[in-house]
Amino acid sequence: MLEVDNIEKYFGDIQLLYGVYLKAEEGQVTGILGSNGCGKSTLLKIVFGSEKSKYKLIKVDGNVIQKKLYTVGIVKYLPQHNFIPDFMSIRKALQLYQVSEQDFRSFFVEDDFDLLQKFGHLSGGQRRIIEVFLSLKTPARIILLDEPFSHISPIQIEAIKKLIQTEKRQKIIVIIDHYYRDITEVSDEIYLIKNGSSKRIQQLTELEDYKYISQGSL
Amino acid sequence: MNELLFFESVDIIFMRYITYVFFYAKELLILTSFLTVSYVLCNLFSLPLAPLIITMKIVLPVVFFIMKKMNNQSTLYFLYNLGMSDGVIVGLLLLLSTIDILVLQFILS
Repeated sequence: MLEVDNIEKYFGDIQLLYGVYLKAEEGQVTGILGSNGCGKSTLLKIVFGSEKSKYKLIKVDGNVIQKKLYTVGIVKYLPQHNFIPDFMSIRKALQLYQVSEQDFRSFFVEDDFDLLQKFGHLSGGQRRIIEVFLSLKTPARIILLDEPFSHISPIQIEAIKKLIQTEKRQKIIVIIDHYYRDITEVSDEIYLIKNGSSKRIQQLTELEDYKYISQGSL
Repeated sequence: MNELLFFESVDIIFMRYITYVFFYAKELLILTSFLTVSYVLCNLFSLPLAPLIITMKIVLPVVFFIMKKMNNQSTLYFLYNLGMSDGVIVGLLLLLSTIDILVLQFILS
């Protein structure tokens, strides 16, 4: 279980996050929603360890983790933008992420990818879906996904959702995206970041109450 | 078979800790190569600029990393995902930037 508590983040004099709390469990997908600039990505980066915060408490299975989480080797993070270097081939990326070529081939049945192809030669959408696939299939315990549904086609979004459901069995998955319908569909637990604090959503109608979505749009 | 496994793991480690930093920092390495050439020329023509060049070779990787970090460059997350901390990345950049000078010093001495 991943537990994040008391996260406070300032940008200069402006406070972005006010003691955010979040709990994500194995076998569940935890979705985070919030308007633009509310601090969703910043929150994931703080959990991952690449962004500093004034205060934070991160616990994995009840043990406080003092180090940056990514140095412990139990977490993988999918950033918003392409992150695998252009020069790298699909085969090398699979090796580094410890994902088998067989798994890759069986997921991308329709696309006949040449494994020696470099990421720099792939289209934006192809690149993105491979990065999402690698992030989900890699044998890390905690997976943090920042906008995994962006820049990919609807049919691929469906395939990714299915993959998330399979992978969540042995992983802790935390996901943020602007497509709230996709998030609500795929998540078992939902948090809303509003005014710098996290609110656990038990009924989807609460999203209307908190004015994250307009009345009647559910 | 064991040998094959050994070389495979060495390959993975090498890729993780050297190759991708090398590619990630190719602009830096082009710059430091020019500094190395300048260093050799300084030694050949007995110009007193060698200490300045060595200082630049040490300072440049740090500046380079800070700039990448400030720009929040996504490829940095690739290295983070491989478990490399900021200290390890800067250390490797320093090593890659200065190793040629260290080898040259060894040869010249």
